[in-house]
Amino acid sequence: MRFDKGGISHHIQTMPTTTLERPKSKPRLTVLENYDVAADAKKRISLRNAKTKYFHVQALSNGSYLLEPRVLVPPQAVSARSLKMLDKSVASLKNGLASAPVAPSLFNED
Amino acid sequence: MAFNIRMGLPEMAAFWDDLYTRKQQGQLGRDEEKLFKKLVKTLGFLAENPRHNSLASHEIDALTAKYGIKIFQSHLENNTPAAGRIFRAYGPDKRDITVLAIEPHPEDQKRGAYQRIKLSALPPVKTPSGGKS
Repeated sequence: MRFDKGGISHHIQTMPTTTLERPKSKPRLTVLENYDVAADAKKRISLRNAKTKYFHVQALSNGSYLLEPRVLVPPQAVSARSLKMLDKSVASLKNGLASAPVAPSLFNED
Repeated sequence: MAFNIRMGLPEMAAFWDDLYTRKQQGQLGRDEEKLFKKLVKTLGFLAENPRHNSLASHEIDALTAKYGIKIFQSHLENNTPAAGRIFRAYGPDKRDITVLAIEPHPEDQKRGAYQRIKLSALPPVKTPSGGKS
């Protein structure tokens, strides 16, 4: 008797299900450049042909440095904290909850 | 006044209460004093006319789609890079406007200068679709 251990035995091409497809394996990283550099008097090294301006740097305990490219967040973006505040406020508002009205007299003060 | 201005619960209301209480006690710092002044001015405009030109109010479609209610953004200041903004919605009752959140978040401003540079991961790189070369 044959057993399917893949866990997707119920997937039949002619009978699509709502189950998400398994993610395809990510493309493997390839080495584009391989070179040695020396740090200058101020302990700086230069990256050759860097594609991005900003990097997130991790200094590891074995002396290695890991650089991950980063981009600046657009100014229109909403920060995570504000978004969290928004989540809670909207949830309350949908339940009909909000604070008491701000005193209108406050707006007339100079 | 045409509209009642309310604060979203719990964080925005707590923030406003804290700011207002400390303003009355004269305990606001210089930056907080500026923020309070801008907030009061903006809320005054909002109460009078939510479409006031100075507010540059507009709906944020992405947030509206996310939450299922219309979310608007109004500016706290003009001619300033990364200007302060408030997010608001109409309700819970008629003639009510609820301020839901403030951007930048008050806690974000307490960090050091280096941490103020906001970085995020790169968008996913589009790899050319397969095909033998």
